Amino acid sequence: MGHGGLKEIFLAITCSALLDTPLAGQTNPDTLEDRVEEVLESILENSTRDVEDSQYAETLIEMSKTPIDVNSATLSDLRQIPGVDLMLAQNIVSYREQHSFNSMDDLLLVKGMDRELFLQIRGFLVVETLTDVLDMPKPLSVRLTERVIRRLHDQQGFLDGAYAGNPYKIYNKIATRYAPDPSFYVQAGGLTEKDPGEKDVTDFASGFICVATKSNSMRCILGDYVIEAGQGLVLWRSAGTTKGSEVIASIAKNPRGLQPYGSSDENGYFRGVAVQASLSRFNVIAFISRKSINANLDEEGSISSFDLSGLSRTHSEIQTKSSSGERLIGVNAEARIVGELRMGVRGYTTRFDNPVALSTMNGFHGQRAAIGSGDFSFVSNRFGSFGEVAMDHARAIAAIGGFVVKPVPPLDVALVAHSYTQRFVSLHGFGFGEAGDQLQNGKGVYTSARLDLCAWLSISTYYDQFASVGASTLSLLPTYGNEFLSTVELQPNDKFSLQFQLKHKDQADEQNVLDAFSRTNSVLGRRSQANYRLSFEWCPSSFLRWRSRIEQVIVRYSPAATAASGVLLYQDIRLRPKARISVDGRVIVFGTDSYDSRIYEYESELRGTFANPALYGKGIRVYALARYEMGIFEISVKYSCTIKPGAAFLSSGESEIPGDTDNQLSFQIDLTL
Amino acid sequence: MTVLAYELGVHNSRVILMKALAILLVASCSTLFAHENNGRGVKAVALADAFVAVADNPWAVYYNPAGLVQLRSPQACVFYVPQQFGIPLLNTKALAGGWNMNPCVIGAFVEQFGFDLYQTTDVAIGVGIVAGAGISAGATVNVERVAIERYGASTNETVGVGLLGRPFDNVAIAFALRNLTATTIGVNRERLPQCLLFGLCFTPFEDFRLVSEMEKDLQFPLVIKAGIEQKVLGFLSFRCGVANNPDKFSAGIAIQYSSIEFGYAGYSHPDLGWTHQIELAIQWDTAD
Repeated sequence: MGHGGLKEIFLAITCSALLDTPLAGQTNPDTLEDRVEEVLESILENSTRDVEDSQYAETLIEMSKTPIDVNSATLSDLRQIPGVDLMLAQNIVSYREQHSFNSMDDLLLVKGMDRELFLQIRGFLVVETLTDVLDMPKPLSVRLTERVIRRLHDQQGFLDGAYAGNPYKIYNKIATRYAPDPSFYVQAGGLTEKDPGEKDVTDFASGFICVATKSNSMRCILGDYVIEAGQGLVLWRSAGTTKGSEVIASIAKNPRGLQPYGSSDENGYFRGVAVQASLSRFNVIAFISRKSINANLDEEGSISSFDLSGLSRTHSEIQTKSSSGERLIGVNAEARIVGELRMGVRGYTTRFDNPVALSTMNGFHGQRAAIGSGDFSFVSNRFGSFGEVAMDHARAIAAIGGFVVKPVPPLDVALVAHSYTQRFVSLHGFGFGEAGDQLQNGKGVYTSARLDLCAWLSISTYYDQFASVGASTLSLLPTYGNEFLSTVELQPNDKFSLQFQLKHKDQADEQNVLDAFSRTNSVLGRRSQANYRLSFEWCPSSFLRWRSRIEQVIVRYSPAATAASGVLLYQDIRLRPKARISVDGRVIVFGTDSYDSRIYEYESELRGTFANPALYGKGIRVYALARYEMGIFEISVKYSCTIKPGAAFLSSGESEIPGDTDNQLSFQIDLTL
Repeated sequence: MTVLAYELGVHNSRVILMKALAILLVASCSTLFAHENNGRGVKAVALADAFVAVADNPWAVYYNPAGLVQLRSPQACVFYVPQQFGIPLLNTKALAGGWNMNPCVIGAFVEQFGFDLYQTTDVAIGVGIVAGAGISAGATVNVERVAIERYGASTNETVGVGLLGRPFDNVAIAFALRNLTATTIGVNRERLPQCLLFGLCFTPFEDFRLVSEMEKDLQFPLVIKAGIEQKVLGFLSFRCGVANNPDKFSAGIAIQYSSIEFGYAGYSHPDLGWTHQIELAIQWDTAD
């Protein structure tokens, strides 16, 4: 699993925690697993990266398996639930302080809670009674996942022998949780993954043991872990918030602190020991990590680039595997000052085994790095604000701040501003911005609003202005751009929803133009892209879900005065003949002039994974996904096929597939004890 | 060629033949399936082929087999296109019918198009069933024989599927996929047209209907269609429609007397002119 995918996954992590409205284009899912999928989809369907795996999926599944007691959940716990924004979480806590919850239906009495939202979040919550606590059913739970994926047409790398291994992708995972008494629990987990073309089944192996009190006042992890803190300028998993149809939710992060690592991303985690202790209003995390990294080394032994692909298929890829290492030690401290005002500080120092001399512009140089930051967040019934300021070892500064306000009940307004200096270095952060993993050389102001005009009509919109503050790969001078998105959603009843979305982005772009002498010159121009999307969903019964979508993209270039366009239509049907059986099918027809006018299409995958493939060229894609749950087992099978009629080959390089067809068969079995 | 010259007159036979061949090349999605653009049935043609969400007559076999479930009693129709784009060579003769065999409805059609040099014969059978909760589903098997003089003949089978749903009493939504089997033809394995269609039908009043449709062929730009149907008198209906890629305007009328309906439709092509067609349909009333 590559680094890019991991980042996309985590774009979701914080946004979902802050989703403040019913998810766009969705009706009430039938099962909690469906809910998990729909949360992922709502966050990732606007992604412009091809992703296929995510710890976020694992996080949501884990949350669904261990629902939070609404009578004891902290504000932070509540904000982790997709659909619960900071103000609703505050309202739940306020209601509890006065009444306490006797049943889940009491949630409907909370200010800001409507029935649809209630149906969406109830799976992540529980009202524990004394009997529940004393009974303590299932002190031990074990979940095993085995996944095998095989592309049915071999890529060029297999045909010419460049790949060392076989074409199977194999993934094994075990997750256990043991809670001998109500006060503490032990979690342990491990996974191995082999990508197609890699030789060893254990090409990537990860594991952890976590001991914690149930209230998480004390938590210790030995093995692989991640830390989320502040607004992500210093510490975040591997991806952060991004802009999307959730225009309010996507701007502020709700950090989950110390968490065990359960993803197959081979980059975004720490390996070592971490301890979290909470006392009264204070929370401290101390962590130490020693991890090998994949990097390209130059002749002098310096790291010229990090290999974030996570792939070890070819000779050159194998050479980069574990070619260097990183040692890191750090601390994160947070305190609830007064009411719901929370402040925190954090920092770490790190050392690489080899000097780093990244060849990219503004890239990090040196062998040691250090960074520290301070942040705050505040929330009341109608107002919330947040901010973080960070400084690295070279005293370069990055800052972000914003607020969310609800002036009247149907209206939410948000604003966030950020400024990251040109050479700011954050090796383990992921913040808000055009590219969350590059917290440097950027500034911008994002404003958004969501208005629920009536029970069945809502409008969401954002306008984001962004610029580089110094030289970039495009230009020695600062460049600028802007992005606008507006979504209108009609939901006349809980079975039918219709959504129209317009997205426009204008940014600097390097283009080749002909001069008066017909010579090709590279010039700095503009690229503007407009996406129009119309989609609707209809769930006439629990047996069937109907989804249709059409999306058009138009890309215009100036001064080249050229354009490219693309269109995509899909029809999606989900059948659930019985509670334990579901079948998903989708047909997608697409046609684009170029790769630039590609269209992303989020699709259902095996449990715990998701895919957001970019479709371009002219072709058709179909897939069918069947799931069958029988007792402790769940079996999932997916077949997908992309055909580009007349194409001599698909993809390029060692990934090239001869012919016009790319089909894949995936199989997964989950065992839950 | 001798026969053609005799039929058309020697002085203009070459011109007409060349025009016919040019039309086959210009007007078609696939050069081997020029007549696909003509549509089938006067109601569909008059609505600019925006028929996937209507599909309430035996031509649903072609447009959306899920719509067959709307046939409450046996129906049959004869459809004739004397001159596509004014070319006598390009004529179409077709017969379609549907029969409600509760719980499913069976439909079929036979169509012949072309002339001596290029001829196609289509035979299709479809079935539609009610899937419950206001949704119906259907599938069609289409066998098509293409014969080109001096090149030979080829017979191909394709499968199409469709869905039709009514989320509201006066709104129908539909989807259809043609050539699900990705059938190809010829030594070059040219893929027969493979299309995904979305349709919407809105009936705000009992006598008035709005339809819209989007069609995406793998190889060609998106086509957007729209049409209206108004029943001005108990026995008389007017229809018209527009579409793009290529720009098209269509119109038609239907006159109903007892269980018999006569229909006319015409549509324009920006470069090739008008095409007229007629249809005679009969519906046998059943006891219910």
